[in-house]
Amino acid sequence: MEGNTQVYELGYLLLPSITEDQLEGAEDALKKAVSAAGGTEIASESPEKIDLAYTMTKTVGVSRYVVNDAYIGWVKFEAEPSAAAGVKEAVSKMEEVLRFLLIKAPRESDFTFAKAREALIAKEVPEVPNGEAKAAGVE
Amino acid sequence: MHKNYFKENRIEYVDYKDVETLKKFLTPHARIQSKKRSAAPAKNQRQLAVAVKRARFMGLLPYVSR
Repeated sequence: MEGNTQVYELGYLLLPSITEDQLEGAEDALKKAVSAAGGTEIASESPEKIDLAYTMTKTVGVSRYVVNDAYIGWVKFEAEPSAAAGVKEAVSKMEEVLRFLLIKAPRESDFTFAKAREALIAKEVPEVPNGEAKAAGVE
Repeated sequence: MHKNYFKENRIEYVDYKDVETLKKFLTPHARIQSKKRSAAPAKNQRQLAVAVKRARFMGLLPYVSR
């Protein structure tokens, strides 16, 4: 079993209609789907709201959701290739999942949304004092 | 664009979630820059194309702009 496993990453978008306290439950449901199919979780990032680059739709029964924002999150796990198919099927049946992406990934998670946000803030912060200093210098 | 952005920044795996990096390799119309413009080695250019397409599917990048 050992040599045959592969690291996968399950990225997902959740419908914005679910509330903040339901979010954790949805995340757990996804992780359960992974472990139920025989996957071992390596890393993950909790869903957080983003503005989508374009409008997406999802039809559940008779209701059609048209959304411009969604919660994005991901789970990285290790599983046998046959188990990945099970994850795909289980997640595709979840109603609160707007879209998902199951891909092969490296074991290390170099990029996280949290790190990216910090980097963005770090970039913006030094600019402010500089701007003030310049403004003061001009006066 | 830098000579080899991916090597300079020690990016071994081009992640579809890393929108800020991917945006550097898009034209104003949100198309993927040609390898001539991006100056990326063939391997990185292929990784980049896959990552951009994944990011588009997940709504992180637009398919078209303007």
